[in-house]
Amino acid sequence: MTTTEAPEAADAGAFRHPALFYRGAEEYLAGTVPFIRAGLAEGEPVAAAVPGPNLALLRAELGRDADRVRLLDMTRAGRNPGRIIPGVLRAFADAHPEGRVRIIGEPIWPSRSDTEYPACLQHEALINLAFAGRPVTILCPYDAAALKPRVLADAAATHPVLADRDGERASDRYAAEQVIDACNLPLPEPAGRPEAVLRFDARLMQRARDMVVERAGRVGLAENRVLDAELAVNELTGNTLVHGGGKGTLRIWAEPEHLVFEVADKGHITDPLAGRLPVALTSPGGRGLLLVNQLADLVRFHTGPQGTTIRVYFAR
Amino acid sequence: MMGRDRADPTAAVRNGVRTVGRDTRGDSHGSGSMAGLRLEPLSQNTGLAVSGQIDVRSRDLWESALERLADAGPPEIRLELAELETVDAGGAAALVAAADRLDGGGRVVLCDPPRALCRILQVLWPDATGIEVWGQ
Repeated sequence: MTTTEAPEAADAGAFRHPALFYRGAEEYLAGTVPFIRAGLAEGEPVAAAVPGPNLALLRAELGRDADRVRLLDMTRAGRNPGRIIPGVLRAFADAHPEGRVRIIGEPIWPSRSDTEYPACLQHEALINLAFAGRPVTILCPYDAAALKPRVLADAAATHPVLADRDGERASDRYAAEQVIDACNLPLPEPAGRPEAVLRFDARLMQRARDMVVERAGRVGLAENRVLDAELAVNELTGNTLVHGGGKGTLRIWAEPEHLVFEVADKGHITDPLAGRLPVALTSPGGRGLLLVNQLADLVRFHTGPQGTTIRVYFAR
Repeated sequence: MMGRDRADPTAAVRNGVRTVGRDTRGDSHGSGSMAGLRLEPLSQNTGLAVSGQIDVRSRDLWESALERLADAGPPEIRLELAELETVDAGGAAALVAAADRLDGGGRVVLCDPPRALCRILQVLWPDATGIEVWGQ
């Protein structure tokens, strides 16, 4: 299963998406810095979106070359996994349409919560769809010393190529489409009773917005985040009017770390990349979920012929 | 703050939010209201005084009004937005598209836009050109 040919000799225009399993800083740098330097030597645009401590490692090791790499703290830019494809990966790749683009993207770190993780997994699987056929390489480091075995097993299903200190090999468990389906599960009911519930239709859009502002203010969200929550829920209720049968249910509850807003309706989102791709100005729609992904700290959803439930999380 | 320019601000506001569901797009001045959005032509400049709500219900009215303005190819489209209550991503996209349709040097001027509009523009189109913000 070992790939012996140089990657460049394979399909020059193909998307490449290797996972890098590293243990410790030395392996991290050994797996990432040559990748970065090779890109710089070829004149390719290079970006690295990784958690802060790893960003510091890269910056120190790259020295002056760091100025030639777009460096982002993934715990901020990619806090919501649903934002990483449009806001980080496609944003960088689309800004450099000529030739190959290299990106290091590390979306999963040990303190990702159980609520966040399914969205991270879904994101890693969707990358393969979002970049199919494009001359882009996205290298995804996984902290093999600290992440759970289940997470590393999932990485083998979402990445066609696996790398570690012993080299690169094709993943014999790659199954991105199955992962995307498996992530689309009913969401667990909130632990407590929702603090607010509104069955809404077109006439109650304003009431829905007011409820969001009221609850967000009550749990002490910062003023700019209250606005973000209002805008996000407004897009969801608007989608209900257009795509969700015209009526839906808004529920709001507090969790220890987040205020959660849920909109459920009779719609069915059939495009797995909805809300994750940049949208042309001439396109009639598709921006609502994109805005939601950009604003929220986490987005979870379940969709099918029987209906769609979307939850947006805002950190308290 | 710049001076107000709308033909009859009181009427625009008074008629605005209360005309939910009524569509008066057919009138000869190109102004109209639907589902809580009221658009009034400005008397001194190419542009509109906007009040009420830009959302999925009023999207068509908003988009077609902006397209009509942009197609005439003015150097500037002025939008008075102090009475705009809500706006969504699609409504903001129509603004960016209108600015994009204006020829080189043309611009869309947003007077007193609500924070919601500025936030959406900042998040979805941080690099959009030809949009100028006045007031606030």
